[in-house]
Amino acid sequence: MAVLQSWRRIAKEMWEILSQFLWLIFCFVFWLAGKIKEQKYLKSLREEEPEYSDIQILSTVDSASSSEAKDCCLCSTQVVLAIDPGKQVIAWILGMVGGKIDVYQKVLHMARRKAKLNLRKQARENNSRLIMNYRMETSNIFANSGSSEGQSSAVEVFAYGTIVKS
Amino acid sequence: MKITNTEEVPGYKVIEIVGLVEGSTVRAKHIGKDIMAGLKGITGGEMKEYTELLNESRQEAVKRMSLRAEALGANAILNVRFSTSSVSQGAAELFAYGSAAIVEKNS
Repeated sequence: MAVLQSWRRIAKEMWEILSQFLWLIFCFVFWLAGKIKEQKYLKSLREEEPEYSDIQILSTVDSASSSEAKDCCLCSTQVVLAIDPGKQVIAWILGMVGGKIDVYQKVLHMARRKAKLNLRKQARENNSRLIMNYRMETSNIFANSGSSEGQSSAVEVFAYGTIVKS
Repeated sequence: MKITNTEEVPGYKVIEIVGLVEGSTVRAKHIGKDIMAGLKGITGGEMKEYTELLNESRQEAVKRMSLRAEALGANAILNVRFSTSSVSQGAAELFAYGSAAIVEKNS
């Protein structure tokens, strides 16, 4: 009986210590879920990108093809990606030491790839193979504004350009 | 209405620059959608609700801009630029501006 009681006490103490780090465990779970979601997202990107790889994106104005062009139109796209709490914790820990923070960079890179893919899709719809004067901007207008939980944070990538039809 | 973000309109000839036109819209998030998006966003990934919201808002800004250009008698807007700023918590201003111009199709 005494042995059982002592075990119970140890278990209770263990739980007390564990509950201190419960948020960390939650973050780990979210990080894992986020990781799986991210891999899925990347996989779909990898599958779709080769289909549209023939469409060229230029950040300059190609005067040769613009003089030959028949028509043009503006295309724009936006991608909002959420950053999960797991990544935020990793970034916070890394941020204390300084140096590069890869977790955020990955999210931004993914958002930019998706934006480029969306633009290429729009160009394909317009039977065009060239996007000129490509511009991109990144903002965090929705960062830390979640009313339900102050944790959610998101980045927005907005890209636009001119589709040239020849 | 031809809208481009280049200085010239490919396939068209610029006859006259009429003036600067701008259009803006301030949008706040829908509270119900916000909570839903927040819950989904907890595992990361794309937030479709916000993407749609921003798309709608930008279209609105561009529409307002082109209405102003039409009022000036222009049929194209060149060198369109976009800018985004957060006015307050949860509200964003989406702003588009460009030069209204009269263009003619190349023969």
